Amino acid sequence: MDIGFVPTAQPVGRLIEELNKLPGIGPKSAQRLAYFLLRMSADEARSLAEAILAVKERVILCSECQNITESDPCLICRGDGRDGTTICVVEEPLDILALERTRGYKGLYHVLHGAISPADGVGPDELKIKELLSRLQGRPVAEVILATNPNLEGEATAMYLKGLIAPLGVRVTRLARGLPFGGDLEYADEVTLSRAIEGRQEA
Amino acid sequence: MFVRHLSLTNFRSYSRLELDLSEHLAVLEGGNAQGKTNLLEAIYLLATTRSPLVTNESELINWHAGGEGPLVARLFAEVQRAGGRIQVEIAWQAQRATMPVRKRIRVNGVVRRVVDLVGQINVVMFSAHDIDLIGGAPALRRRYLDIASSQVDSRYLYSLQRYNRVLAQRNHLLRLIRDRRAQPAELDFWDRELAETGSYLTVQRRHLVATLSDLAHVLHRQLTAGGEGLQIIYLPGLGGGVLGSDWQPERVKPELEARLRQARQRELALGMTLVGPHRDDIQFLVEGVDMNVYGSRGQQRTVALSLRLAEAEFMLGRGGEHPILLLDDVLSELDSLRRRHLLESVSRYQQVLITATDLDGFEPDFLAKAAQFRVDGGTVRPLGIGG
Repeated sequence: MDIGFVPTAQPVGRLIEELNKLPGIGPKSAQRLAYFLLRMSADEARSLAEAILAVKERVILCSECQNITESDPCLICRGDGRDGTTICVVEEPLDILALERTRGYKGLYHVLHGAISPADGVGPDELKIKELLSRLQGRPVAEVILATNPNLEGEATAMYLKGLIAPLGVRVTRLARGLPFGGDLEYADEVTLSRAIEGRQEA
Repeated sequence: MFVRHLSLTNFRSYSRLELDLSEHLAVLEGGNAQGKTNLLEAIYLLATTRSPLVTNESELINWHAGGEGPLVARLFAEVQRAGGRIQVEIAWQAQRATMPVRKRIRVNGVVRRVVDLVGQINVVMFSAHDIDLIGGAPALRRRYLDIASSQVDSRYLYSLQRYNRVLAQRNHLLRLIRDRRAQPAELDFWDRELAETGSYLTVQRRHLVATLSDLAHVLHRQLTAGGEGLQIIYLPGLGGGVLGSDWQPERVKPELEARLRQARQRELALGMTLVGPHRDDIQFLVEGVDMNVYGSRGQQRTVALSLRLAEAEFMLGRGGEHPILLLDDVLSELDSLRRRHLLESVSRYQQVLITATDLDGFEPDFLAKAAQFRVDGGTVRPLGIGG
């Protein structure tokens, strides 16, 4: 069943175009996926379409922490036993999953949905910074942990947030940088190592 | 240090080459376009990860190798250093000549980043294009300083990479502010980072140029038979003057920050950063005359030679080990006095690889102690010591 690019198969062409918009999907992959979907049973196709729609219709941003959620406020913001006086600021929702896996952090989160990067047209206004500041108003937050990535853009974001939050009398901390756990000193590069020396702690 | 073994696969004109090298002098002789330069390029790449000849890495891959699927160009070298042997490998992989190239680096079998490799092997390459360092554009001279510094200081390369990213972000931000799509206060972080990394680059470059100037002064007198006094001067992109002789990072950083503040209105109007080491240049003065503008071809060539010899001495002094010297077809451009002097100077180094289209330019007693190789159509045949 060779359909190719004949005009009669216009829905296929449209599907290829849509798939091509996804990250990491080039024209070839889009074609392959489209023909795979074409051979699917109607039930399977409907189930996939519904899953995509459900993401858009049912998943929202938590009005508190801006994390993706099905119910507002999200499970973490509603959760018992979470320490409401500490807020950990991250770039992306996936960062929360990573931090939650540690089971060591009991405070709340705030998702910025990105980091400051002028080259990509992302400034403070494009991030969920206003929302963070309004959370700090009139609530007993004692500490904000800046857990943005340790790259240039993450640091720019952290520095910007520190300038806004520190004057409010809230303690602002940054995740420690240095040697990876289980790593060998011998194999650490000099920059990481000198950062680790700068950030050393009482033994 | 010296290269013991070099192995090329699908690299440039070579489909496969295994080459054993020894200490001291090697003369690679062959006609044009037989692959002499690509051998030196391979060693240069293993030291710096960058080609002295091409910017598009896909050109490193031998696309005539054919076959199905992606092609891989692979370089491997075993290098003897004072502390022991090291194995370095770089592989470039691409689906087609027009597709992006993936580069993978291994040191002693372990995957590493560019910053981890650069500095492991030190090279100085002399080429006929060196004359452009003297007579060409400032960007070539900055690149020269960057490659020499990165080989002896890993923090330099780190600072350079970071500086370039900060610069790109800051220029975008300046344009956003100009178009009223961002606030001037957002510059604070980028200004501080630019000053932090930029002051390190400035201080290191100034130190390098001062050292090179002293070394080159002596070497240039020898090359010109006692005639000409050469001076190399650093022209910092943060502006000259006020710092005097106090070039410590603690002094340069606030100075750079202050000059960024002064330049801000002009920077906003133009949408680009006007102050910093990306505007650096160096000047070559022979008896006070600027060689960039007024040097004859012959003078420029001799200055370039002094500069490369100074660079080799700098590396020896800084790293404590002999850099590997690569001389790509430079003898034919020189008169017999300079040629003899150059060969005498480089003979003191642990390993020197010299390419030439014929052996006419060499003294018989020089050839007698050099290992000779015949390069012909992508093959290299050892002819033994003295040919």
